[in-house]
Amino acid sequence: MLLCLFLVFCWVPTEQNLGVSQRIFYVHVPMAWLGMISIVVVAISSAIHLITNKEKWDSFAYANAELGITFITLLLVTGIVWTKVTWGVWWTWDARLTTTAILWFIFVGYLMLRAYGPKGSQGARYGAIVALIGAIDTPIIYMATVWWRTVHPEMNVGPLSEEDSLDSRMLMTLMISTITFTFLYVWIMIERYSLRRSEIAVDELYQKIS
Amino acid sequence: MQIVAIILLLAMPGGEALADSETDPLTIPSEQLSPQENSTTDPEANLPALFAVYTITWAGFFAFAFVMSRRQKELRREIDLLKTTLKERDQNTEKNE
Repeated sequence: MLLCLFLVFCWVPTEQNLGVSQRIFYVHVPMAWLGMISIVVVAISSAIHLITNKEKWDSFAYANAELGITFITLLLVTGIVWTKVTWGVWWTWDARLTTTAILWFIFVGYLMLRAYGPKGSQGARYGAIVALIGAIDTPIIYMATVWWRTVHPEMNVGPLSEEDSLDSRMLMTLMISTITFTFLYVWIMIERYSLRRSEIAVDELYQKIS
Repeated sequence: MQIVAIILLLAMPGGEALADSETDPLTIPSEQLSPQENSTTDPEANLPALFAVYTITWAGFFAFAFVMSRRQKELRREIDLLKTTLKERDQNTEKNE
């Protein structure tokens, strides 16, 4: 993480048009990547739970959902600040921004359903349906700049980006930042998953006692 | 490290970063958007925004870690309570036998 910060603040060149605010890119993109990954993981884990009926997959889905909403919230917040600086407005109903906001609401819906909805396998089933809708939203977010005329910048990395659209040092910094945040995601996810398993074990013990 | 880097960048002269929010509309159609002029004239004009973004990001992660740590403490307390309750119940069961 320290290496990542060093690269972002001291090594990578300043972008010509956007200035230092462009360095938000190195946080914003990993957040987007991990937020989209997490809803797909939630959807897959929920589907496996429905098929196998094993509690651990539901716990895995729940842990990833909590992480996912954190990442998408940070994505939206960093995006909003960058939008204000670059375009002069806090928000615009651009295709990518709108679909990302929809994903945020899907995460909120999933967590509220799990918290206040039916408990046990029924709650997990309803949550799985919400997660699947979120997983459908993910490719729409990714392709939004290709399918629609948007003000959001086009892709700089990945199979659909133009060749040499990003300076090599910027690309390297972005890759290191993405890897760093991915490791952070995995670590927090493991901790949250084991915490969730403990919570379920405690609930079961309470039920036994009562 | 982040704070030192930001301080070094801030030490360089910079202009006002953010547009006046009272005169700017909250949202405008995306077709009417254009890059802000101040970012092209002064590349270090948006340092406060950069600082805010990184602070919010790290504060977010620390807050999440803090919440998890608090839940873990509560769980440990509940587990201890459950162990005590179960122990008492077992002792009562043995006495009755």
